[in-house]
Parts: sequence; structure tokens; C-alpha cells
Amino acid sequence: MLPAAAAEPDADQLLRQMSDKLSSARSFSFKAYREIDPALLAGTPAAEKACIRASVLRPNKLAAHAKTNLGGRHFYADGRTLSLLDEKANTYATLPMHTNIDGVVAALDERYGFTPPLAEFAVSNPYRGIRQQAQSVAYVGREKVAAGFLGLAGVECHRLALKGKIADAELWIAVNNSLPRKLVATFRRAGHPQVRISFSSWNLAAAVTEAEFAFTPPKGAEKIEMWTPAQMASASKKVAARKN
Amino acid sequence: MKTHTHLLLLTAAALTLGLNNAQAGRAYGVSGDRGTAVATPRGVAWSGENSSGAVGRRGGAVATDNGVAARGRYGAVAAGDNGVAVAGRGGVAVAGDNGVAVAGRRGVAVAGDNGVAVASRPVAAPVAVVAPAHVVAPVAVVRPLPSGYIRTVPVGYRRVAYRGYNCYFVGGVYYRAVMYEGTTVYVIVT
Repeated sequence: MLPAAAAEPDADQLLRQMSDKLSSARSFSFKAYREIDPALLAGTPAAEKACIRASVLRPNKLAAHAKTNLGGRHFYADGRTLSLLDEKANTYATLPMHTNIDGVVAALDERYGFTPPLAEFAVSNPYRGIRQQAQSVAYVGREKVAAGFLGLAGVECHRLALKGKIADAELWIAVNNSLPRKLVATFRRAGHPQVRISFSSWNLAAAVTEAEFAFTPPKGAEKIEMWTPAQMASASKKVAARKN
Repeated sequence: MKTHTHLLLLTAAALTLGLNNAQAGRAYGVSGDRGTAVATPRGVAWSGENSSGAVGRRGGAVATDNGVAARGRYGAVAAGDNGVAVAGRGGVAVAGDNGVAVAGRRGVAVAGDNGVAVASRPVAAPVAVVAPAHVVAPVAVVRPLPSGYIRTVPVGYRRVAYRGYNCYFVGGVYYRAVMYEGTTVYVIVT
């Protein structure tokens, strides 16, 4: 008699487990290495490679620090204000933002056309956000994702395939702790540009302090406006009209 | 993808040349100049010049010039010129010229010329991830900034105050910095 075949894991359930784990952590931190293809970045032919360190203190504090090949960027949301610092240009923008992390992400997305780095994993319900983007989730299989020194310590992961309207993604969730280890999103546009993220150093009991989310402008930094896509389009028309 | 064309030409060439015949049991191996073909019982392997074809039991592997094809039991692979195709047990992998296709157990992977395809072992049903074929080489697509915006101010600018803004003046144009999509860009002050 043949042994019974192991039941295939439920991809949606795995996604929920990951989400629940992140949602239940009041304060946590993680690191990520992210690559963004140039087709997804405005005005630059170079891919962006970033080492990101993120800290979360629910319900309303989020900080992300990115060291990139295009310069360092820092994001702070402390429940009252949101600040962005561009190290290379030595410029920063600050907006009043009296809301929680979900509110910050939604406001930035709706008004300013971008979201904070890796915010999908910091919102109160990552599952809901991911499922709004992905129409279907399928289980692909189990495989090891490189981790540790030189990637020698492989982490056994569930590999999920997510299909969305503007992008398809694959997400690797660690078998041992239900936390994300890797994400590759491929966009449905010319050149099939990708965002590739490897996660590490998850700490769901991180001793983060409020001071980590407070922004102090560096000496000599210039305060600049944060523009919405509508402002940009309007000004762009003026420039085009002047050229003609 | 020229694999099927190569396959016919290769078969004819190999039979004419008859340079190498590696047989074990009822297996057949045929290879062209400097090629290697290895077939274990009931397998069939063809390889073109400078290429390698290897199969386990009851399968077939075809590698054209400089291609590499390897497969486990019951699988099938075909690799075009300089292509690499690897299939696990029961898997199917087909790679076009310069393509790479890797299929896990019972998976199916197909890569066009210069493409890369990987299919992992399916749990319920075979899943194939087919990479788009690049025609010549990957083309970098750059998303342009809107008219009037630049990522970096041209060299040789002067910092000046203009219309209430801290501006960068260069080439008769005033630029000012704004934060857009999380990064600093520069807009022409009109």
C-alpha cells in the first residue's frame, strides 16, 4: 500500500499566517536588500540597489533607512509628521501626518504616488493589502532561499505565486517562522521590469524606542516641497508651453 | 527558437558521420564531432558538435552544437545552440539558442532564444514560468521624468535666490529641488 500523499499547503492560508505574525508584533525590525529595475524609476537609467533597515512601532511609527547606489534615503513617520531625507542632495521634506501607519501609506499612495519602502509588511493587515493587489495566490512548492554568510545557510521556504493586474509576484515564506524571506515582482510592461527583495534579520520583539522615529534635519540640509503627481503634471505643462 | 530544425539536421549529420556510438542495453547514443552522447538502458541521446547529451532510463536528450542537455528518468530535454536544458525525473525542458531551461520533477520549462525558464516541482499541477525571449539583448527601458524635470542639476551651477526659491542657475535656466516619489528631482522655475 502506497503512503498517503502529503496534502498541498494552502497558499492563501500561508499568506494569512505571515500576515497574522506581522500584525501581532507591536514593535519589530528587519533588514532587506532591494533591487529596482530602472524602468520603474523616473529619470534614471541605473537600477537602484538598496540595503534597507526598517523599524515599526504600532500603531503609528515607522522608520526606514536605505543605503542605495543612488544615495542614502531616510523615511520617518512618528504619528504627527512624515519626513523624507535625501542624503545625497542633502534635502528633506516634511508633511503633517496625524495618522497611523495604514493612514500614512494610504495618503502617500493616493496623494503622492509612492509608498514608503517595504510598507506592505508594516501595515496593520499585510494580507489585505497583498490580496488587493493579487487576484490569485498559488502554491508553487518548497525550496531553499539563500541566507547568512555568502548565502550558504539556506532557509527552507514555501514559494507562492501571486498574480496581479499590474504585476505578478513570487513570495517565499520561511517554513520555520512564517516570515517573508524573498519577494520578486515582475511588472506587466515593456521590458518586464522587476523589484527583487531579500529579507533578513527579522526581530519581532525589537526594543525600538520613540527616538528612532523622530526626525532631526542634518546641518545644512535644505527643506523642499513634496510634490504630488498633479502638481508635477501642471508645472510640466507650463514648461512645455514655454518651450513652444 | 530553432531547436526542432537543428534536431533534424543533427540527426542526419550524426547518422552520416557515425563517429561515436555509446550503447548500453537497448540504448542509443549518437554524437557529432567532439560531441558526447551517453544513454543508459532504453534511453536515446543525440548531441551535436562540442555538445553533451545525457539521459537516464527511458527518456531522450537532444543537444545541438555547444548545447548541454541532461535529464533524469522519464523526462525529455532539448537544447538549441549554446543552450542548456536540464530536467528532473519526469520533467520536460526545452531551451532555444543561448537559452536556459530547468525543470524540476514533473515540471515543464520552455525558454525562447536567450530566455531563461525555471519550473519547480509541482505539488498539484505542473507550473511553468516562461521567461520572455530577448531578441538580441535585454533592453533597458527608462521611465522618463515629465518635461521640465531632471534628476541632477548640470555641473557649473550657481546657488541663487529666484522668485522666492533657493535655485540652481546654470545655462540661463533656474532649477529648484522638489521631493517627488520619495526622491529629489529638479524642476525648471518658470
